[in-house]
Amino acid sequence: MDLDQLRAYDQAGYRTLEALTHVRAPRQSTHSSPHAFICTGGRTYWVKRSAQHGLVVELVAARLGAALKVAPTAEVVDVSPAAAPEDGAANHLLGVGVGIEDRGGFNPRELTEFQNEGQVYAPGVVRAEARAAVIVFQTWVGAEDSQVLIDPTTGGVLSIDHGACLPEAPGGVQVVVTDIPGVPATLGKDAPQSALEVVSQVEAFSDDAILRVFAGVPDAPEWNSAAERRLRMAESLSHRKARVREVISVWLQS
Amino acid sequence: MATELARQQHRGFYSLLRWRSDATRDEPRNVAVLLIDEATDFGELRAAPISALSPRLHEQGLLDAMLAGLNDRMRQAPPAREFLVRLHDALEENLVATEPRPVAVADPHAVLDDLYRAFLARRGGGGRPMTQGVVLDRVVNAYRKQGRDVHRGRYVGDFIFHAVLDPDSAPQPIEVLSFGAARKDWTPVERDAGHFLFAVEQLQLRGRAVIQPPSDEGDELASATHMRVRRWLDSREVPIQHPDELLDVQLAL
Repeated sequence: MDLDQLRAYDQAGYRTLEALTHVRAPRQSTHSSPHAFICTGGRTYWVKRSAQHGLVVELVAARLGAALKVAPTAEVVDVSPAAAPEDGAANHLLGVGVGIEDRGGFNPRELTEFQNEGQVYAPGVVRAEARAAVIVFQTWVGAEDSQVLIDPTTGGVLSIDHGACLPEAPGGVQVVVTDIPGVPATLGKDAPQSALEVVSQVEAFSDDAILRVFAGVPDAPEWNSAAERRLRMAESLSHRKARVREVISVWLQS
Repeated sequence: MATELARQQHRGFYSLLRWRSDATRDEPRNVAVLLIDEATDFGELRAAPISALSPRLHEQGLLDAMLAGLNDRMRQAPPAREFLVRLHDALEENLVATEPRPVAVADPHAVLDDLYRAFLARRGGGGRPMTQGVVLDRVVNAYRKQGRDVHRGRYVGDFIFHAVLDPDSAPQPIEVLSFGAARKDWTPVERDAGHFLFAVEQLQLRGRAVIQPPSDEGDELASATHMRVRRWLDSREVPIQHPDELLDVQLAL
């Protein structure tokens, strides 16, 4: 991996979708306060214009997660004033941000409220293999403040909110198990084959493939996407890739 | 960093039309999207296939008539946002319209396509089996594109027909049948054809039939029923067309 190669890949540019119309605000307020917009192509995306470590992290991590089928797809989305609601509620999202495809479902915070209010949520529906796959991914990318999306009808689990991951220095690789209300932390260990399949998919990412995922990113201040920084993150991710099997194997046997 | 398209976008408005077959149960489903763009004098409605909205012929007819009328109204004089506001206020029963919402428009046709995909298109894509309802959708659309006055699920006297051409002047009933989708029991199709023949005889009208032939030559029951029904129609000198023939006429026009 080198800077010249990354810049060469940057030349291919990136696709931008345009927001067409506002759908809704988030059910709960969060740091980035994403809102849902229907965008060109007819799909709905949750658009953010801020992330803890820069929008580049949110976009790249989602690209990786989508490739492993453990996260919703992400796109660069341009929100113009014509698409924003007339009450100004989404004005903080005007400009070019990251759109995460809407997949429905609930995050753990919402599920906790479901349980607190006495509404029925069946934790037993969460599928072990889906949880295991997300654990492998979030471990690889070094997710901090990790979040997941649960589909209570299928038991599917997806990794979301990737604003704090992809460290610039490799550091230690620790297993990341995101808490899901009512679901034991051990769920996922009983799906070792699924976990190790995803580990194999992680290992199959070549350095060139990793570098390409980091290419083609907007370069405004909120993106924090200087090429040198992206290269450091890519190199760190490659290094972490080599440690994931060991860490996950230990976790599976613990 | 804004895209060229984003720089061209201006504000239009859209509303969704929703159909609820039972106003008490209030279980609406999206049936059409209306888009207004005053800057380009654009006003159009895009509806989901009627056969996907209700299995009941009479209900299909009501819905089709309402949507066709609304579409004509929008094409005659592209309305402004106020039209959507009045529509929202006026429709309260089985058909309701959402309040107009802002939408960014550069190319209104492309935006209408995207709104249709977002609110109406079938998830998962793929073609629909050629059921009688789907064939009827094609037949009605083909006649409308030819500029014909066609009504779906319309009564003439005491008898309901799949479609009727020129119902108010010189009604011509149309029987639409499909053998193109698998089914276990073909006798309802025979009864349907029998009803049509009885009805046109009682009304002393000349009808016509549009028939989708069997797609699976190995389905003996479908083939046998198809041939039986064709014999009945031939014996009464009812002209029979393949749905594609209607499209050929449309292309020729």
